[in-house]
Amino acid sequence: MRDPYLVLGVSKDATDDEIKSAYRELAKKYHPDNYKDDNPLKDLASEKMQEINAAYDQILKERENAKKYGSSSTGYSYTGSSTGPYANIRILLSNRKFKDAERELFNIPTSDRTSEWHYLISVVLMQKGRVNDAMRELELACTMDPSNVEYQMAKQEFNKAQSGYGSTYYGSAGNGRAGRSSADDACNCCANLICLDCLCECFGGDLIPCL
Amino acid sequence: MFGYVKPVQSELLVKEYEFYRATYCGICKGMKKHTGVLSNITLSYDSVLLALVRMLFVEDGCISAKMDRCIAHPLKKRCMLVQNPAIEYTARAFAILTHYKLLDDIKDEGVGKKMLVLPLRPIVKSGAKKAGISELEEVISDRLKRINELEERKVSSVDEPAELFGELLGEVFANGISDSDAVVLREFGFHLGKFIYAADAAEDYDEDRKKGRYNPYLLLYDGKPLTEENKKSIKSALIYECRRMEAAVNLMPFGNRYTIENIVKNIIYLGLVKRIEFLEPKEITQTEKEGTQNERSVFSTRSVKGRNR
Repeated sequence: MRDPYLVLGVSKDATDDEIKSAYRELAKKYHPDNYKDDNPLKDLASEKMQEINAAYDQILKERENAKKYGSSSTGYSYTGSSTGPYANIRILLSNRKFKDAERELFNIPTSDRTSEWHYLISVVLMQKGRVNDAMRELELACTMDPSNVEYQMAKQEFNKAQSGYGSTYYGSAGNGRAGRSSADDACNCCANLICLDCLCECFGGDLIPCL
Repeated sequence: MFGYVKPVQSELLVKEYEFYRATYCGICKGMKKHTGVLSNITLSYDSVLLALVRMLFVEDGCISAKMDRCIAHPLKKRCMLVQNPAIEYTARAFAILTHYKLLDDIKDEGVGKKMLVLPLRPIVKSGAKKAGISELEEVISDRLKRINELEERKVSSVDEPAELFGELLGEVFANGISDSDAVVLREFGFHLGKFIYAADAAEDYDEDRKKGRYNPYLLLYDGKPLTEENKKSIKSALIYECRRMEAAVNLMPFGNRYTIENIVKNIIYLGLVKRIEFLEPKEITQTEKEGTQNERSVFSTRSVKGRNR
């Protein structure tokens, strides 16, 4: 499934209200009333509608979870379907009792440490800001259990959160330097002119005679 | 010690570059004045960031510059900042840092480098003595001692020693400043220190692996060559530190001092990323090259078309 935020056309940090209004806007657009029986686009619209509904539900659920567990940026609930000693530790993590969770984890003898152990210790380390060590533990968890979606997701989420760093340097307007966005460099300007010229020619005019 | 914390020069405006260099010259002059002639020969461009950031917090008036001569460039007058408290502090702090770096080098490095650095020892030592910021010196020597202890214990964590180095730099940035300003500076220095320590260790990975030296990443990654996936993880963790620095920079009182703001942001957003370029996968640079070639060919067909019409 596509990224639900992308489906609704909102950014990840949009407020609940913004998401709601974006959802309403789209729902209105693709409402079955607009695609009556004889409309050949009916099926497409209803597919679209389903996608929007699913995306909206997913976002609501994610945010609900994030609130419930008070977890920070990632919005994970750590309560997986695990059994045994790790279930308890997951509850501790969900309640943000990271110190207790860490102690419990280190009580588990080295020989018994599964991929889940490495994953959970990475959550603890991440919380302490020890990201270098945390990433290593997360990698270990992923290599020990490559099919586990939870570990893979956690790693991808973290990697994704760090992408795009530094892009604000160019766009930051109002810092005494005209913001240089990629949209207004010389190349783009030329491309726009050429485009405009093509459009004019379509309608019989000509913006740039030599082109 | 300070790693290579520099701006990406090509992205600076000329006035920003001039200011950057003038600050450097100011610090160099400051060292000569406060910590002794010759103590400035060990100065590096890394010091400028400290001076720039400190200027935001201790300078409320205008920062003035003058044209002056210096020994390194006797023929032409250069623009340099007039001494101010931030510059003076940077000069003194760097004298101390250099002293401890030298002690470290003498201990760790091979015979060749030892021969090179040994003659500097008396100069640097007296420089640190003249610097006269004893509480800063205490923190620096304490943290470095503890980092050494961790390294001798061969601890398999990057963050533990990196945090100690972070605390060290946090003190360097925040020393003598109080209240909320100190919190911002300490946070900035802390994450910069963590970044520098971890980036240095990651960069030395292959060399340390061959020579069998201690490197925290080697223990974390079982001494195997780093895969692209490993590098990606390391890079993400380092960028995370950058983001933490960004959060601190956003709270700095730049006001209308755009020149300083742009240099600091250049260092944080571009310079540090460039610093860890060695973690980039090699294929990407290849495709980038192809990309530019494609672009060029688009332009050439465009001009041919234009001529035909």
